[in-house]
Amino acid sequence: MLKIKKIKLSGFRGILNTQELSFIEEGGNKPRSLVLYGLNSSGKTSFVDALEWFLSSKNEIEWLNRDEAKQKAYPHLEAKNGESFVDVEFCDNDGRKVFALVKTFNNEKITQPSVSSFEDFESLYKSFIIKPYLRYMEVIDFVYNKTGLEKYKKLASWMGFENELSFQQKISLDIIPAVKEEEKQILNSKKLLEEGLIKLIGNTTLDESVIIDFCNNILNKYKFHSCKDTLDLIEKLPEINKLKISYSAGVKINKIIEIENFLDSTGLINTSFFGEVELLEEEISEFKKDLKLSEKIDVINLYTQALDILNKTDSNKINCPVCGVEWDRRDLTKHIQKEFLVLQKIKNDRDNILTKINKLRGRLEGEQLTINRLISKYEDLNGIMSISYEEAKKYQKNLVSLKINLNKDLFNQDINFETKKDELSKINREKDNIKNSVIIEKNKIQLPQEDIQRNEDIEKINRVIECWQGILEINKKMEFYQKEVKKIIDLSNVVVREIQENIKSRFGDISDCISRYFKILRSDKDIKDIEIVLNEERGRAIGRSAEIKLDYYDISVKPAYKVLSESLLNSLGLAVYFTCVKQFNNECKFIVLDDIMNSLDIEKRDTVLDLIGQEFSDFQMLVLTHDLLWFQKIMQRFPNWITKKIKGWDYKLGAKIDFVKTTPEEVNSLLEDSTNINRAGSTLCLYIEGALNKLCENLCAEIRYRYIKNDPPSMEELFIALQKRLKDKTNINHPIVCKIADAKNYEPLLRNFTSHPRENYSSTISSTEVKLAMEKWFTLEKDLFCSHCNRYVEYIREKDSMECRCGELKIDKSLVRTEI
Amino acid sequence: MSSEIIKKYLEKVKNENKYDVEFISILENCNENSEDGEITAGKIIHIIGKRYAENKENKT
Repeated sequence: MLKIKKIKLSGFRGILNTQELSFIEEGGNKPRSLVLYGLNSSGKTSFVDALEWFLSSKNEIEWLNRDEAKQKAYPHLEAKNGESFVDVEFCDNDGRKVFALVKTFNNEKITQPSVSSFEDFESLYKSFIIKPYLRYMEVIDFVYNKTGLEKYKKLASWMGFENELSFQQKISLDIIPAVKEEEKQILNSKKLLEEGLIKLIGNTTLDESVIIDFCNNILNKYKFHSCKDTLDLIEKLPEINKLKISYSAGVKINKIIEIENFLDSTGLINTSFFGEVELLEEEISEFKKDLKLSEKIDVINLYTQALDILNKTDSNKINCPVCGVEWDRRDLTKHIQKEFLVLQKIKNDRDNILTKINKLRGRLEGEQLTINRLISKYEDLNGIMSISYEEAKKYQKNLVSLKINLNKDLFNQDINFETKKDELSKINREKDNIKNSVIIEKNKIQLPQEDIQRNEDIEKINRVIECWQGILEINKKMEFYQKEVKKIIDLSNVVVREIQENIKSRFGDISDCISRYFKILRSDKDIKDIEIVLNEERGRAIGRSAEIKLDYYDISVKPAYKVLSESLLNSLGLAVYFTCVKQFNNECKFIVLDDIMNSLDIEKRDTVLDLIGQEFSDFQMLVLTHDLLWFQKIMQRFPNWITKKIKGWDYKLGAKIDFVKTTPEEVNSLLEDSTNINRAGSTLCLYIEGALNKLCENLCAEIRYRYIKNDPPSMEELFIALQKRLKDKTNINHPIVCKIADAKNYEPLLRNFTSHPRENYSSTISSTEVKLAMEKWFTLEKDLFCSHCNRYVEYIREKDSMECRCGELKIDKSLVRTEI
Repeated sequence: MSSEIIKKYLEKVKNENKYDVEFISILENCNENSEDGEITAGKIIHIIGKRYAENKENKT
């Protein structure tokens, strides 16, 4: 069980000099809860930021990821390297030290802080599933995130299934789309061939009979007997080619026509190829920065074995299994684990690059095939007419050198793939120029028109068959590919289904608890059967989206925000978070709550304290608040908590933290200085007004309705209402009624410190009078406040009685004051 | 960070003997090494291409 004994931070966010929060009462040893009060911008959040960074295995503060602030915003601007650190001492429930850990910010490698013990930090990260801190913003963020997908992501972070979500995302957003994209590329190459074929036969219907009819029509024109199918035609192709006119000009024109057809119907370079090559080059250069370390990859197994050996031994001193030097076991383990992780990452990077290289090799072969065929046609053409195809040759050469480079040990030598994206346009421009020259050359040759036509027709049959065979080949490839894709989709579906079932069952496990906690937070509403459900309906985020379903006055509603008000949604967000912590954090028993009551209406804030008191008594709380009233309520409800306040904030020093006194202690202390009578009176008034308001509310006293917020009932009205209520429910001479009258006698004096303070009046009030007013009030309060459950008495309608929540304190109606 | 739960799921699926073992092993590797989805996809495409070439060779 982990609780916090002490937090110390320095040079972090708004705090420069070392600040400390101790969770141990003076002279004690057991860890307590702590409430820290401070005005806005007084440095409270620096403590939460520091703890979040300290507890994050990724060394991140989530809310600072916005606007690219990230790690560079963590240290105090004046802090030098090594001066920004967070030091936390953890203990068990009885205060026995578990470990003391220090994380120090590294200005040179801002994402890699140094840690005091790698092993202990790992234990710390593993001690909680749910992040043990909640900020006001997070509750708002959760309930107002519009899509189920965003809610699911938040739940993943709260409930600790981020790894499963990440795997789901990899499958749904990366793997399956990429595999399907490849399918699309195959189809695109088929489309190119089909377009070429349509252009050749002048018919958009492409099937065996259309192809064979087209070819037979040509053959019949030249008195060649029809072929029954394409296979028959392929067999007879050598014979058919003999139909071409074979005199020297005819040979030349045949070649020209063949090349012209080829250039017309052949696609060229894969446009994304260049980009991938450039990307690979960058990645290899980046990787080579850690070259020295990468040379050590092969010793990973050695480290694994060393760790195994270390785990099996209990001895504190041990000889290194590698070098034989004697080490402290703990230091050696730490050292080996650190080295192991660094090497593991480098190995993964290297493997990823090797996979990319393999993929590129496959693509390169396709590229070479295309460019070689093109150049071979250009060479044929060059025998007939003079053409220049330098760009194509340059590209061919580059591909050869790229192939050689890809086969080398890329990690250990300089590489330059010399690929430029503009080469593609140059090659295509060159191809267009050659096509134009071919047409001009063809027109120059004076052959009888019928001979040219005959040669063109026969060449067309050759091209048609070539394209048709290509299409059939792609069809086969496609059929094979689709079967394989189905295999991976089936496998992915079954894995994703398993993940979803597990998450659904986790949602199910916590639903009852959410309902129970929500009931504590909002007993005034008929809302029950709250469930988190996985969205399994159709849609892009199917299975990665969650919503909250509930019964609202017996009507089933999903999503919850359809009917719930802002305040109810905030309570729901809190119920979900607290449930997750309770259910999943078995080891880590502390929670940091930063101004969370902001998300609730003032009159509902007490219910959060009810929830903490009833359900989280085994947890240690660190509550930060800027609300004085709530702070005072916490002090009253949880007198065992350590209470501290931030008196002020300074750029150089940060927050000035001080202990908080109880109201009588504070008033008495102020009264020691005669110039502080005003402040003492104000402090007392604020307290009495708050208490009177709560008592009137609890006892259902009739009080003037507040039309506007700025016109609250006066202290006099509150005293009168409380006195009348008590008189009605007991008797005119009841001791409490008399004590109210005694306290009320000082109201005219106290009112001068409240709504309309008069600076010149206070000097006429003595410290003795303030002390007397305070004494009378606390004598009264003692009868109305239960020191067992730390609550004021309430009116219980069903029993027509006035008692506290735990029943220890009951007002006896029959009592009569005897002494005068 | 790899997920133990996913490791278990993949182990379970492997034991069912109903799914492609080579693909399972690629997904296992993806989980264990926190590999980018694109890299995993590249490996799958590579395997399919290899299988097609072998299949074609066997037929001829």
